[in-house]
Amino acid sequence: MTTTTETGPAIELVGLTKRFGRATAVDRLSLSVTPGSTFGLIGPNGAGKTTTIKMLMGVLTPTAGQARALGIDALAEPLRLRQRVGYVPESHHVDRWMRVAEVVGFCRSLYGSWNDQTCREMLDLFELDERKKVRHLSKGMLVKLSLVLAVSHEPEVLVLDEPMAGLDPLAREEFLDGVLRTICERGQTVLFSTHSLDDVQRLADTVGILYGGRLLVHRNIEELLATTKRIRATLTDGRLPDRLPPSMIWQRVEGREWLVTVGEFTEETVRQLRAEEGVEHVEVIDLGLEELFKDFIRGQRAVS
Amino acid sequence: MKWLLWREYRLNRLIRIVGAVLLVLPYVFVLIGLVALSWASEPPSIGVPSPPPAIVAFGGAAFYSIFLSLLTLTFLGGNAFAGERADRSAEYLAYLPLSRLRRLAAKLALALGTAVSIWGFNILVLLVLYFVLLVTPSEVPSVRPDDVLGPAGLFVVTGLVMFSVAWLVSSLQSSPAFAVCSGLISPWLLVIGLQAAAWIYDPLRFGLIVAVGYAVTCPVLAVVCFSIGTWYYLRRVEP
Repeated sequence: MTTTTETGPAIELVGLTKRFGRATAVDRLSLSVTPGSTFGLIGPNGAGKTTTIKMLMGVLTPTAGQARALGIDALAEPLRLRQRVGYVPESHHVDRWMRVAEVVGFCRSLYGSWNDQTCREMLDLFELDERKKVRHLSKGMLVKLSLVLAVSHEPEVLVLDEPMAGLDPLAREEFLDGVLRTICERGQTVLFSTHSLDDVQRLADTVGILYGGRLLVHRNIEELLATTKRIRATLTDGRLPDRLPPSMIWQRVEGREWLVTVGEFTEETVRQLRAEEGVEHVEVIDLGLEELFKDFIRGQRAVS
Repeated sequence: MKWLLWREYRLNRLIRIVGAVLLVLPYVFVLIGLVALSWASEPPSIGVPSPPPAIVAFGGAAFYSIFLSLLTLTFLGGNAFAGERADRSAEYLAYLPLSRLRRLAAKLALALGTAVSIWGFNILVLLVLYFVLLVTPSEVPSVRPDDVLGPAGLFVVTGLVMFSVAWLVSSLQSSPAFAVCSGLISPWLLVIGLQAAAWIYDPLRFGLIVAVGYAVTCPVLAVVCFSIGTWYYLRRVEP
């Protein structure tokens, strides 16, 4: 059950841009996330994921554009936004001298919607000892504590910024279980950035690929996988055909072998290629999210 | 607000410990000195009838303690914002629905509370000593208001400048050490500037210009630095 009352998107970025001097970290980024969906934001290091999330949370001023969550402008009303959006950061800077119970008490005092029962359930789920000092928690436990703090005020939107980086597989699994539990129980809208494509495939309905601050793809995962294919073709003399397939993402020619990844793939794409002079054999290969992601990034690198 | 005050109080624990040590240190030295004197074969002659040495010594200790409190306040001012940035807890707070104004109020409450505690304790000691002096069969030295108000005023304006400069520098960057050092050297730089100005404009009234200039410039500088530091902190979006 979602508590979002607004009819518009849960998260909306409009022409969001951030420049640091001459470097552009985020470049006219526009996207919207529908209420109740899970959006995975992926991209290589330095793609602008964290910068985007910081602007969405209202802790970084955009150079241009707007970031809104639940219709609330992040820059104009950051406190109202943070009351309704839960956030799990990449690095966890909870006061290390506090005990778990003290951190919980401190956060509880800031949220009007804090739910003690949810907090207790999550602490029990993660077996977090409330008497322990934060400095004595392992990285995995610290991430779990961050998740407890982020969901106990029952936010309508949950933002996760690469929270699982550096976690061992077991801690990662337990954290993901916690996230899945909150998604299933409360139907929250979730935006998470990650390097792990397995996590995206497991959690997300929709995926966005960010590169150089620009959004290359923003699509439902199943649709994306269904319409993006790699084609392996044999070239008669190693020369590319005159007419290249539309929506080409990436290509490589090695000897007579031509590998090309195309978006918006249809049977027509294959027919057209077979009809080309100099193309002998055409084979269509299904792609996983990881290969697809790599091809998008390689394609962009080749262009730039 | 209770939790925020508690966090601020706990966050500055080391400074509070240093402040407590600086508060009692002059008294400890006086006690050690008095014990050492009591072991001497002949009590020192400091003129009879005169106030008992203990009263004079504890009175001096109270003034030293007030003087040392300037360091504690400078540490608090310098650590106010830069400390949170240095340990990166400012980033954690930035994502919470916690207004800058409330955070600022908690920091000011701690600094004010510390100043009132230290100064209150020492003023109480001075008052007790004064009343003890009145009932002690000795010649009570005539104390003019200037004898007390002069040093007290100097401590107040110097303390304000040190705290405010440290507060300003702390709001601008992330090194508490740099902010504290800025606060500590600010009165010296001010005196050097005033001395240079006095030499240039009227060497004959050097002392007067420096004294009056210091008394006037310190509060103005303190208000300006405090206002800019506060304004910058409240306006800033980033942690």
